Amino acid sequence: MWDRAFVNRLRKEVPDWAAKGWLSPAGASAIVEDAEARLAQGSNVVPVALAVTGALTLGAGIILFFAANWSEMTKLAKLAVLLGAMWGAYAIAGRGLSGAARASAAIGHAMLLLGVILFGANIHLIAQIYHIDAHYPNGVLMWTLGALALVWLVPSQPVAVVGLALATLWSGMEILDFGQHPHWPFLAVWALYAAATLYHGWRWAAGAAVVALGVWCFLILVEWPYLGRGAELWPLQVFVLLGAVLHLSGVAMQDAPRLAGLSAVIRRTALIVALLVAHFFVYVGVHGLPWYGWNLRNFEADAWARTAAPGAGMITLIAVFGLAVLGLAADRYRRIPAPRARRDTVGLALAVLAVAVLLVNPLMPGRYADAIAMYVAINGAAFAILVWMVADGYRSGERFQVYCAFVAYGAGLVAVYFMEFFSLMSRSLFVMGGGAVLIGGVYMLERRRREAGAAAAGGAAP
Amino acid sequence: MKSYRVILLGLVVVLQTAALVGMVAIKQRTLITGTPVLLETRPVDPRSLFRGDYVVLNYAISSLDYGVLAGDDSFERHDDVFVVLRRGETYWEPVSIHRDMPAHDSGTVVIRGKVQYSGVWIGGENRDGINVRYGIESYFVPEGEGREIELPRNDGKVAILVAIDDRGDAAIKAVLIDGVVRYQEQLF
Repeated sequence: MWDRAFVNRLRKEVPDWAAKGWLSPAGASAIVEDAEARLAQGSNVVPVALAVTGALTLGAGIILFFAANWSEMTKLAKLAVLLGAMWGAYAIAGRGLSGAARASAAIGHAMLLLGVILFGANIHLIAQIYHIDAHYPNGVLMWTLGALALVWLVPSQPVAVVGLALATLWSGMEILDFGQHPHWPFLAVWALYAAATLYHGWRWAAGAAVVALGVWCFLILVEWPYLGRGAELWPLQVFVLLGAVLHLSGVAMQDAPRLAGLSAVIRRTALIVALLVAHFFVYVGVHGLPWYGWNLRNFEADAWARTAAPGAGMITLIAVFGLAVLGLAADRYRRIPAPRARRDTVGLALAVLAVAVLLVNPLMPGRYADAIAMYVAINGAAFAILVWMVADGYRSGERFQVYCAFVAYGAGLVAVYFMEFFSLMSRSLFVMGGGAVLIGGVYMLERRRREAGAAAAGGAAP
Repeated sequence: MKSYRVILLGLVVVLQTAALVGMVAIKQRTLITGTPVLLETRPVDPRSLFRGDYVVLNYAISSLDYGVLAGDDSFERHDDVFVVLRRGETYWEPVSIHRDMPAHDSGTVVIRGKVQYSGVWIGGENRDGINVRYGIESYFVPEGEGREIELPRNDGKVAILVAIDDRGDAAIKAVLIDGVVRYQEQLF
């Protein structure tokens, strides 16, 4: 995407590059002119976004219009309106997608989206007209499958995003309202959406797929306490590792030409999911914050020490995901160029440390003294990983990773302030210590940066 | 967009339309082939999320007491349940509860439901039993009329005529107030 800030920066930088002899004056002018021309052409995001917003608004308006006059209509008239509106939307979509112009395709996709929305509205309104009071998640499942058919047969990314949201809604109803826990059929539907997303290289849908999987995991997590008192910690561990697996899978996609375009959205979304669950694990699961008790209601200050032993299935899950994290991290380490290998060894070592702690944890005896050792190990590993994320993010230019690490660190500080495990004095020492470590890390990074700059310039440090 | 894509879009439209028509067809099958059964009910009146009014119907057969009824007696929440009904003086009444579709004589019908929760409140006391949902618990009426069904004039009784098919599925055929049909289901 050619944004204005980038073009403005090019306008400033290119004359300097030409002055240093890196670019010919003609080449410099050509680069700026090309960037300005692309900027003037604009991006296709705006027409698509406007068309999709228009479709959503139009759909809502149509539904409200008929809702206001519903009582006076006969059943036949109601059916004609419902089906006619849906067919009309799809007919316009067909014409729009047949056109060669970009705006025409945008309208086509927006109308496909409107058609899917009307299909869902029709399911619920026909159920109302004919007093069909069945297992209501089935209505959402039917809606989801209708969208899935469009995603596969008439590829449309906006429909895929909506379909993934519907699949999550369906599974949420089954889990929360009907006790289907864990609701495995969701994974089959999710996989069909994810396969289409990977096949077509849809970035928005890829992000939606990771979020949908994360929400589904969260719903299972919320319901897990019903499986038995004291079993809350183990799913948290599973989902931290699952987030790491997805993130590292996104990293691995960088090397696959067909999937490289999806890498950023998958690893970034997975990073958010992993850090969110890790926050619960480190600051809620371990320390048992009472104000998070709506979720993990059985937790108290020494909750971990009282946590029930995990079953064989849970240990298997933790082990499988842990080994997957190690395998993917090692694969990444193997692929990086030799000069960077030494620095990335730190990342690999931290991955091994984190996975080792998470693998040892289920096997620890449930005594309070052991729990304190594990509190320190988990907190230490989490803190080290956050610091490494900041350093690695700066080094690789992945600013999103840096922001995520700082947000996670800030959320951790807030949690530490409210938790019961430490006294106020201990908290102050913890926070001061953390600050000192960060400042030290920044000093080391800055010194490294200056050394690297000096080496590149072949002279004194700037 | 190539022409085969237009054909595939047409196929999706046909599939989605068939699914919607199928919903109506399945309901009509029950109404046409099912045995008419009159059930005693006590409605209340929440507002629909979508539009208009609908009444939530609480049937006499919604609360089943293990101590009174024959058959199985250890159901969990969300279990399928089959209830054998027999014609009483005015309304049809439960005879037995089963996990699977039972064999039954010609004077009875079997209605299928799902267990909502265990433990029922019958006759002012808590009994060992289950509360069951049959998929006939809501009925949409024109806006403003829900209240009228909830509080029928002259202390009238509300009854629901349902059709129950050979699979145990039920559908509302008519709403009766004081024995007079107030709403009747028709295809169009």
